[in-house]
Amino acid sequence: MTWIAIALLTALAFIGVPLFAVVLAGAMLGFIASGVDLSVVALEVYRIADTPLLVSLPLFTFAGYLMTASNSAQRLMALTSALFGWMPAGLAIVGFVACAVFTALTGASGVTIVAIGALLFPMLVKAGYNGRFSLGMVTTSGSLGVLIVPSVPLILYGVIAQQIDVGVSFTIPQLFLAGMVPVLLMLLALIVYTMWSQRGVERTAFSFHAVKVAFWDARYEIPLPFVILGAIYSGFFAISEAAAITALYVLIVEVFLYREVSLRQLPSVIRESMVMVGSIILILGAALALTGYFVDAQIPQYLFEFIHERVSNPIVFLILLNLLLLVLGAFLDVFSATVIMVPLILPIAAQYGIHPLHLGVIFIANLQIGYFTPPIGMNLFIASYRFERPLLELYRACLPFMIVLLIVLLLITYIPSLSLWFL
Amino acid sequence: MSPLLNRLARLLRWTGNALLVGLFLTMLIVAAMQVIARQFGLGFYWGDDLVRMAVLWVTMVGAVVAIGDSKHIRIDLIDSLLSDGARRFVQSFSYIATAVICAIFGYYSLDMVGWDYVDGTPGVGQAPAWIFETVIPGSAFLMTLRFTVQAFVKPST
Repeated sequence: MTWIAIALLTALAFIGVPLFAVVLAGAMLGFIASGVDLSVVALEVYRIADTPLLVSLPLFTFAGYLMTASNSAQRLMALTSALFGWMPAGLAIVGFVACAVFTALTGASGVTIVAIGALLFPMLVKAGYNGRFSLGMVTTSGSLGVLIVPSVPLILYGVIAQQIDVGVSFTIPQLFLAGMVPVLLMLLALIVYTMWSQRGVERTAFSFHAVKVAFWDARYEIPLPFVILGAIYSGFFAISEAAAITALYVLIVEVFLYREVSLRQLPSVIRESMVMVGSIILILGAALALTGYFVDAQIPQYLFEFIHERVSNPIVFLILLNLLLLVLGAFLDVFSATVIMVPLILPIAAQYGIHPLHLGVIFIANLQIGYFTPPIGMNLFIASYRFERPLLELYRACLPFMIVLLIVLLLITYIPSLSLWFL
Repeated sequence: MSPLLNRLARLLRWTGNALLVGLFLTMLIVAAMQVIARQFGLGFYWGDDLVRMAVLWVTMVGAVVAIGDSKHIRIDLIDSLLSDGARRFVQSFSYIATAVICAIFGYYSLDMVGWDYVDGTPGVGQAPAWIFETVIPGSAFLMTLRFTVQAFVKPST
């Protein structure tokens, strides 16, 4: 019976039924099987209105969309290239940093390919970087941002994790901290790879004037990271309040100071961002219902016993988890994969003694790589469309970056202290 | 489509967009006010409730509007594997399946609204919860309608 249900749901997902409906159907089938009245599903979805943390999603997402609609990407590029352009592999470093920051702020790595990648790609090629390298770089490096404050996937992980009692509690600011060293490690590894693979590229001279101009142009946006970090780590504000401050700050900067988005355009920016938010939080709501069923029916406990009979070593468990998440990350976007899989995996991982903060970092880092895992990682399609290159070329272009990031992923998976150093 | 249905569709679309903008601005302004007011030891006790309720509403209204934009997250693997005719058939089938799921969900969520109406559960401040909860069955049924239409109407692009 269970297998028929799982097969049915998988079939629905693969013929293109929206994921919120698939998850909702899964929750309803589950509750029917355990003889619970289906109105409980609505009660679970209603918990969207009962989760203070969720308030941060629409606010951060709006801020990101507003920045995409203005010229923030250009200013960020100008600033980072004035600062890092003179170093060996300078322009590539610029690209990694700019892409990561932009993804962190906008929450979506696909947007980064279009906003930053489109600026960066011609610059890289002109500066003498290998064409395939450049293509791979702009396609992959945006994904770094999913582990950086105020990353939406991390917030979603936190929301779900807080619904499940695994005996170890953590806060969202701690979750952001946990992602810090892993991201720096990825950045470092990518820079080293770039320096090695693109040795011959000439450097540009450092210009104090260019730095001054770039700083002046970005003067209203430079405080933004400090606003976000300050609000989150000062201890005075909840994450939702930090998000409100961020959204208000970005609104004032882009609409009233830079005047790049007019008041007349504002409704359409709001609308676009809220449609995106609606589609994500609805999946989350459905996933809350599914989580409720899992907990009710003790599914994670059964799964744990099943797996533990075969795999007793936590390291082997983590290797299998890495493989599963890589495949999943290629099929599903980071948001859906997180809200669907965390309720199952988190309790199991906890029984293997894996810290929920560590699991969160492994989880998101895996899905991040899934973004450009052939054959169907989402970023591959976006880049293929945007840069008008065949998919096969993108597979080849992204492969070296994928290998570098996989090595780092192995490190952060098997060295928990990289994520948990501050505990 | 008949002109009347067309106008109705346009009206619904406009209402959805206006609601999204209004709800978001409410959320942003009240949330920001709460932050500022709290620095002075003030702040409305219903402010946080209202903001959280706005998140629920934005979600449900956004989910309805997202159908018209084809912005619902789905696995689109099959789109590139099938011929046009077959794809159209599979798509229609998937829309119908989605409509059925939304309808069942909407039907059972009416119970929740009913119970909170009888119990008088408070939602935001003194305002009863059931009023705010109506957005769940409301959007679910609108999604049912919208997906059903989508299944039979040829996409314009």
